[in-house]
Amino acid sequence: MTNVFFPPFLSKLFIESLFFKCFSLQKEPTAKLIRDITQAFKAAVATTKGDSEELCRYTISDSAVFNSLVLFCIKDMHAALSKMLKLKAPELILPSSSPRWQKNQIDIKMYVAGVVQLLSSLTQATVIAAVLRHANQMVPYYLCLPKQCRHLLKSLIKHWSTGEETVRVLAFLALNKICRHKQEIYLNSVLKQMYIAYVKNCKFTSPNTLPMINFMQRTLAEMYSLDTQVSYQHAFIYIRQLAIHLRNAINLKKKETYQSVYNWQYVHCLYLWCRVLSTIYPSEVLEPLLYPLCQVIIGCIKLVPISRYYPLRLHCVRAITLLSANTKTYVPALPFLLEILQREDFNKKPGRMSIKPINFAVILKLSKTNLQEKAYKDGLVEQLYDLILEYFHTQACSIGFPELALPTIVQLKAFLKECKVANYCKQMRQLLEKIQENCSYITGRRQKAAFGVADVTAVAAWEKQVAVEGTPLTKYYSQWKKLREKEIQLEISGKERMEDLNLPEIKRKKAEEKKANKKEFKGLFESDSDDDDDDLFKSKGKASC
Amino acid sequence: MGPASKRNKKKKPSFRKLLKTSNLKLENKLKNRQFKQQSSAKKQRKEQRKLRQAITDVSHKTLKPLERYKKKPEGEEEEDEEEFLESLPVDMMDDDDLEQIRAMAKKASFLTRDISSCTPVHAKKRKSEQPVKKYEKMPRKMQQEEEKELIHLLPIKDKSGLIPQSMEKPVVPEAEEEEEPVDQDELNQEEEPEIVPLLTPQEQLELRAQKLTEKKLHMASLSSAVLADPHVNIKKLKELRAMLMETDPCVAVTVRKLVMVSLLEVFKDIVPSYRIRPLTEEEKAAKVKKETLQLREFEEGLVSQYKFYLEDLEQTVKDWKQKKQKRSQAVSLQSYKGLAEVAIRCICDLLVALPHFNFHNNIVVMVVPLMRDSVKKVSEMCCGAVSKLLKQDKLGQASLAVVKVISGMVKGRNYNVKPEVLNCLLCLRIKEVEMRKDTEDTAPKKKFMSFKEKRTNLSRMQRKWKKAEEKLQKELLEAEASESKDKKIKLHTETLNIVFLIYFRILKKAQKSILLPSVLEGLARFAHLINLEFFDDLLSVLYGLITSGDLTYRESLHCILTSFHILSGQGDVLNIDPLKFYNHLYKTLLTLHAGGRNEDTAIVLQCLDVMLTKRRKQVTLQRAQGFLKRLSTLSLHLLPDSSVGILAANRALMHTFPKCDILLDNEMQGSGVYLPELDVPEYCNPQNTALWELHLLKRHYHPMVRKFAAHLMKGAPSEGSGALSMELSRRTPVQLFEDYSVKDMSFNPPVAGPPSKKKVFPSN
Repeated sequence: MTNVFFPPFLSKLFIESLFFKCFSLQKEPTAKLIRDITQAFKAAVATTKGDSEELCRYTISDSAVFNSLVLFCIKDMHAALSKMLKLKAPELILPSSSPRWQKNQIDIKMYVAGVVQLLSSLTQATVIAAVLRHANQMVPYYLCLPKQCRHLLKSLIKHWSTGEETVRVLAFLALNKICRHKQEIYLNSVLKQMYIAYVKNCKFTSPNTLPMINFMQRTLAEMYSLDTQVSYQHAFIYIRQLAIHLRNAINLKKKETYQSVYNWQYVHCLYLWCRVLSTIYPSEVLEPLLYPLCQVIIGCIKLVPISRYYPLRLHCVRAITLLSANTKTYVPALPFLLEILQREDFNKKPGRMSIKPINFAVILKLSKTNLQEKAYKDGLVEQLYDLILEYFHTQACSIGFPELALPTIVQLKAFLKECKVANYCKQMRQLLEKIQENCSYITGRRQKAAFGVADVTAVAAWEKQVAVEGTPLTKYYSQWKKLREKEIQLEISGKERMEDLNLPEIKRKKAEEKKANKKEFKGLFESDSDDDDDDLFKSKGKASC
Repeated sequence: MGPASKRNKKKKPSFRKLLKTSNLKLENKLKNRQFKQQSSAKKQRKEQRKLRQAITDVSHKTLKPLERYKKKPEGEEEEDEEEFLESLPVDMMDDDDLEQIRAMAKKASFLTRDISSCTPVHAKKRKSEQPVKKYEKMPRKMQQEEEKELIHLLPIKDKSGLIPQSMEKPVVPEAEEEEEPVDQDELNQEEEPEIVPLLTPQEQLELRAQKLTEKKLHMASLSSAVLADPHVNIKKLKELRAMLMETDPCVAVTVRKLVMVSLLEVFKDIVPSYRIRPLTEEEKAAKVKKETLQLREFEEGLVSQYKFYLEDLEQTVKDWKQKKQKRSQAVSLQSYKGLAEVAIRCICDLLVALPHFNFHNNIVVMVVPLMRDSVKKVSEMCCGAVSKLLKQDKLGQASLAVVKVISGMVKGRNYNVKPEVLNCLLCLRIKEVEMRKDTEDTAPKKKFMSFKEKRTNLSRMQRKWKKAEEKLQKELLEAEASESKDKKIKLHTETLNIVFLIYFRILKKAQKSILLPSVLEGLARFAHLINLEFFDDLLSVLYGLITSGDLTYRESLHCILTSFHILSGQGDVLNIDPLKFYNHLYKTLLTLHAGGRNEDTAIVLQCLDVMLTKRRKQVTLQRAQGFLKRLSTLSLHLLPDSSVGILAANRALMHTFPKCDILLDNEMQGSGVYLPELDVPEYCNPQNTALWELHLLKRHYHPMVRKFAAHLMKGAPSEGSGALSMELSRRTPVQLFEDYSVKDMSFNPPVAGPPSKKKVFPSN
């Protein structure tokens, strides 16, 4: 029937019957009705593909029909199916457990495949989002159909890595759901594909793509936290790969091999692993990987330590800070920042004036003209201030803080002596004061302590106590952070620049976004909290294993 | 081919002359060198003369191919050509000019080209030389030829020269004719307009390949014949060497290179393990066995061939250096470089492989100046060869020769040499020298009793036994070659004296030169061998250098290390308080950090060893504690390998100064507070602080740093639960630093697997 052209009246009739069917499906779904609707849906999907080789019972050529059909399906199909299969708690039980499953499997399979196909052929973000929500509902059905599930995963990963914000979030939710329910089957390959998709899509970094990359990092880290054993294998292999690239670059000393390390993909991968390890911190399994990862990052900093690559260095230091803040690991990062302060001559009159500030968050390498600009030096001082403060904040409550700060204090004093630019001096003096304040606070407190250096438990308790009470630096930091966030918010809303997309605020923003999305979908999801349900599913899945 | 005989006659003198000059040089090298330096003008004239001679030869011989291009009367042409060839030393030209000339060479013969384009560049030069040239033209030609025949070495020359000439005869006429137009790369030389003017490039290539194979086969057969029985086939060596004069332009360069290398290998194989000395008159006169005679013949032939070979190599290098077109012009200027590189490689190989054989000094004299060659490849090759020689040299003779020549060169060049040259000296294998002659002399003599002593102390029988025993011992000593040991030490002493002479001269006269780092490094390396007399001056110079502030961190570390090496040896009698050095090291310790050069840590660790651990009696507790505290602070800011090294040094410090354990207590000792920013270890009140940074280090990402931090926290116990394993505790800080090097992204210790996995798969 595919090639038959429908005369108008037939078409009208057909449409009427179709809608009638739809209505009756809402009321009382039967297998026959579902088959018809499914056939129609398949035909509708086939039109999106362009060349339809498959045989369909119907042909849908009218866009209005198409729209209403698809709309009906994504709205009511899930409910109808569960009704038809007589599933009592559709989110809790796999549909394959229903006695009617065997009979209707072919239709459901067809329908489910149609959804995947629809998903991959759509282009409009809102439509994709709607279909994704539906797919999310349908996940239990996919879990019963491995082949369709694989297709769905593929398409989901594509949307997760390339789509718009909402689409990405929805795709991730679906991915997460599938992986949690069928970990042993899908997790490994999904992680692999997601990592590859991540690497593919972080090649170019701009103010627009950076939030997306951050989102991918976070969500991927979440995926890795599902099973640490599996994640260890992945992390080990990929960190090793990074190390091999770096080693080649160190040994060969050629421009091309340097390029294989000094690129966005490499830096984002480093950052990803830092995030993964810090997300899954108290984990005995992943802890051994801290050491190679730190070594790779430091090796990366030291590969070509010239001023043109300062932005890259700053990214690496940021990654280190993230890692050492969340994992209670000490990683030396200050020397790399202080070296910049020492090497750069801030007194030198800038050769060029430029109005546009340099956005350090989205560059790896500076051009030679950049190096002469005033904006470069302004930005650099600001970055150094931020990073030094942030790094010290991570170690502010440590008992060895004064020793940690000594070289910085010496260096900053030397800088203040040398530097003639009032603006820079002001910033650095403030930083110095805060550090010194914290130093004397820690020194004073530890002098009163009754334990010696060897007493590890007492020191740990002491550090905990200090952290609870807060040090001058932590207090200052929280104030500063608020101000800085506001500043950045202003900047973002002004769309002028998106500088210093520091992790915390992005995190906050993302979290909010996620919540908002969830709220938005709640009505559609039918169940009140899918998280709880998911957990139940998980426990059930485990039991069945 | 009519005028072939005539040509040969003309050819002869030039070839002979080549051999002759070099021959002279080898026999009395020094004299010749001086002579040359003094009369560079004379030399220039000589070369001009040679060139002109070559040109006239050419103009006579190459009438035939020239017909095609000829546009000018012969006389003019000759002049032009002369001018051009004179301008050939390309050192005066810009690259552009060179390009232009090359382009023109492709278009047509040099003889026909318009010279005017060259004039602006060389106008000056020519102006000054033109009058001279005119004078030279006629009379000197005669004079020169006479000169040649006058030289008394001629008979030898003829002997050796005869065979190559007979060899060349068939080849020469063709080759000579095509040489001038060819001034391009080897591959472009294949134009052979005369023989088959219309050869396609394909055919030319084939022809060349064919020729090359022939030559290769010939070479191989000759070489293998020599190797099979060097005593009999020594004559073949001559034949092989004659191929060095290969003149067929399309294969000349390749063949020459190949011959050089194959001769090198042959010589390396057949040269005996002893030096061949010339026979005395008496020996010559005496009757000898047939075998001895054969051996003598072989040795004589070998030495002379070796000599000629070396001369050829030297000539090749020299031609390249002077950029003159010589040697019957079978090889273009451009390929000189390649030829010379091969020649230099051969020389370098010989330098390393045959240090015992004749003419080694000449090789040294040849190689050393090339160490500062402006071509990086050459200088690297030579420096590498010299370093290798110095490392391998067990007798000391070769090292002495090298050092002597280097010293001369450094001085002669007014310290304008590359640092690599001096860095070679660091390879010297000198462990001991004669410090005081008397102690050495008296020691062995005591072994044997004097006759009188024996008589008084021993009975008759005992004396008899003793006598036999002593005799035996003497024989044993001889067998052990203890004499050579003494000789070696003497040579070493002399060598080192020259080395120090180089160093001191630079310290005194050229403190600002780029050589200073290598000098300081060398001083630090051989400091324990420096003579006592120099100590005072040296120390003050070193301190002056440190305080001047001109030095890099590494250099100042070398200064400190040198001074303490001096003081730790025999210098302890000097009773100098090196407080300033301690303070300087303390002050600059924080210069070391993860962002900077990581290699400097090794020197710091050495310094710490000499300054604190080895001088425990002269170091106050305050100073030790000050250092301990600052080093711990420092280890927070280093790469992991350096951190491990520094922490290991701290461990040694804690062992040397057990009282340092108060730094693990949190109790106030006496008055004052710790002043971390003060630069004097004595006054910063280190007793009032504690090593809290160990807690940060205990959370370090590197497993070894964590281990050491935990170990130090417990007071660095040598046994018990907090002790290190045997392998670790035995390593020195420097060794540990090297063990855990992160330079090439190697992971030591290896990355541990996930802990729970180990539980699943327990290792057997």
